[in-house]
Amino acid sequence: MLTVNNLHARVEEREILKGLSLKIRPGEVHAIMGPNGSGKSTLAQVLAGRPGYEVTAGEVVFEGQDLLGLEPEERAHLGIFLAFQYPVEIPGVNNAYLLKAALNASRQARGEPPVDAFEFMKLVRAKLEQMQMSQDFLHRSVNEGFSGGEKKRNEILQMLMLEPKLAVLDETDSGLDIDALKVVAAGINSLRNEQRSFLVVTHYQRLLEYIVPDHVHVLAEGRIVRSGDSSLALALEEQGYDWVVPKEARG
Amino acid sequence: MTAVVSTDALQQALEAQLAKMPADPALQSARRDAFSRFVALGLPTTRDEAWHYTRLDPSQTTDLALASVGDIGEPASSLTIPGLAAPSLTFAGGRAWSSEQQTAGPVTIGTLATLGDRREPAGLVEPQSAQALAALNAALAPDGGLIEISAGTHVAEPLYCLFAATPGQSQSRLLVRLAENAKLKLVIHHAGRPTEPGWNNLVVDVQQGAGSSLSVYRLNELGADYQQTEQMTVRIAANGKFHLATADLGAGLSRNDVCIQLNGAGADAQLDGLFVANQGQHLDNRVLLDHAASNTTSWQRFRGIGNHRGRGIFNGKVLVREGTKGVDAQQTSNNLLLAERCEIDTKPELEIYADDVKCSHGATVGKLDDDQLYYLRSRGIHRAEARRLLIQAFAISVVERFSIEAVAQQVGRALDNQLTAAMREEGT
Repeated sequence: MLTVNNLHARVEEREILKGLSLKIRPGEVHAIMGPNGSGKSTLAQVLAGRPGYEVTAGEVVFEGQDLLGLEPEERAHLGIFLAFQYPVEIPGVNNAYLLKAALNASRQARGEPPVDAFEFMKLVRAKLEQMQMSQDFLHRSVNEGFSGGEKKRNEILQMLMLEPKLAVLDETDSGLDIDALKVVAAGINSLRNEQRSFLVVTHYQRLLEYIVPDHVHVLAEGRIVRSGDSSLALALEEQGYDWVVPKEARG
Repeated sequence: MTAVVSTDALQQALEAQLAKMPADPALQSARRDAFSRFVALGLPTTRDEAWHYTRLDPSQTTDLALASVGDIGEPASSLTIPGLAAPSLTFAGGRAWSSEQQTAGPVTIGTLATLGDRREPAGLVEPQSAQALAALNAALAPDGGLIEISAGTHVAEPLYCLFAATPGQSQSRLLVRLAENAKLKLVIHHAGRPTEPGWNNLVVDVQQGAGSSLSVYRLNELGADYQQTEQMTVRIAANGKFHLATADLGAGLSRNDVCIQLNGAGADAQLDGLFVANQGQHLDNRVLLDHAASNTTSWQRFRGIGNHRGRGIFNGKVLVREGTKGVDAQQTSNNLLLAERCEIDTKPELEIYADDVKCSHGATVGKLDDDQLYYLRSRGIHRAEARRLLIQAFAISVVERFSIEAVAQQVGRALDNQLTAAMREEGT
């Protein structure tokens, strides 16, 4: 589904990714772990197409298509979704409008008719309930004045609505208390199936107790330095990163 | 830079106007005096501080022949706001027409001519330079609209004044009088896209009695070739409340002078303004908030948007007079520049001659937020649509202040048209 090959990327003249390679097959959940500054979030943003993140070498192929030449919205239309580490507040744009516009933009790109108001409300109500969010939320501005937990729930709500093929979750567990973490993880797990893949970027093992990954990768100094199964995450939790991260790569 | 005004044609227009009026020496000499004042002052120039950003071109204004308008009749439905009752007063070419002349009872609506009313606007206090335009209006206005609400009367339905743009020169006026504790909502709508050059020079004169409440919803969606100058003066007695929601989303040149005098304790004025300047448009808002009494309050919140080759101006001044106490005045001007080649001038001013005051002002000029844009695009929303959403989000706090649903919707549509036109010009 996704092949990342020898990816080099820089942000504001600083090289962050230095030859990262990764292969994700349909239905797989991959976790990317690593110390601060190792390039985890940069990888997530490069996949989503954030302007200002410059790819200097390597390739990213999604379902046979070169991703790097595409605009962020075109990547979304292909089925890539990024749950932001810091969801952006947009005063004046309400959630219902964003959800509907986003849903219909992807439908239009796929040649499907837009959802009508009734279908949309039915769908969004079900997803709100699943995320244990109140309906008032639809009339509020996107992320404005939301608590950290509400913002993360909102990201997952958007993901449930858009049903992406590949979801990239950037530190979705940060800032969540244990109850919110369970709701968020359940939301993510509800979308797991044989076709859909996930790339879970996290600093801690905690989230991976709820979303059990098929593969765990350790990122350091812009490269994957070790890969393993879910037991690697447990080992990292107990022993820290020192034993897997080369000495010269430690911050 | 001095604008040379040819006064011969205007003089003839004055004589023609006087000939049509009933023989009334006092009125005739008042009009002649007003005309002399205009000739002495001339059109304002950029040397006048209050006209620093805006220059009127005589060939687009005073040189134009006075509009000749026959019976206005029912206004074209293409101009009126859907969902709102038909206009109570329609103006074209300086003439006024009333669909529901009311001369008896608590509400008076009509034209000065048919009411036999010879009231004149009370005149501007400031800026002095706009006196020239007010003087020309006093000399030449063929008629005017009058709305008068008697003491304690609450008018439930909004009154709608439509100003239909016509080719040539129009000198229009509207007088609004609210007696004590009267309450009114007024819609002022400038619409029409004549293909020939046109200029409307409008005087709106409002007097509010103690405890009265007036909300004015003003929308300018004039054609991009039309020129408009507007002087609105509002005098408010104790505990009177005035609210203005104003949107300039049209006209080639629009200059609004809003002068508000808070003359009694407890008087309050709230102004929410929006302007969107596209290619070739020059939209100038000048506000004077004159706190002439103690314990008066005001706020001005203006939002400006500059598109490719557009120019917008907000110049708001708060004046707190000597000897007043407990004045609270707030003023903000937030602006969005959407293109490399556009200009917004913002100049909030405070002039305070008292000690016990609470005044604040702030101005910002910025671009669309890249993070917000990226966030929307990452959800699949196309760049152009994401930009439009964010621009609308910037404007919404003003649009929402148009608290009549049909008018708010019309403002929303006009904003949408303006943004669509801007995108076409930029080729994005």
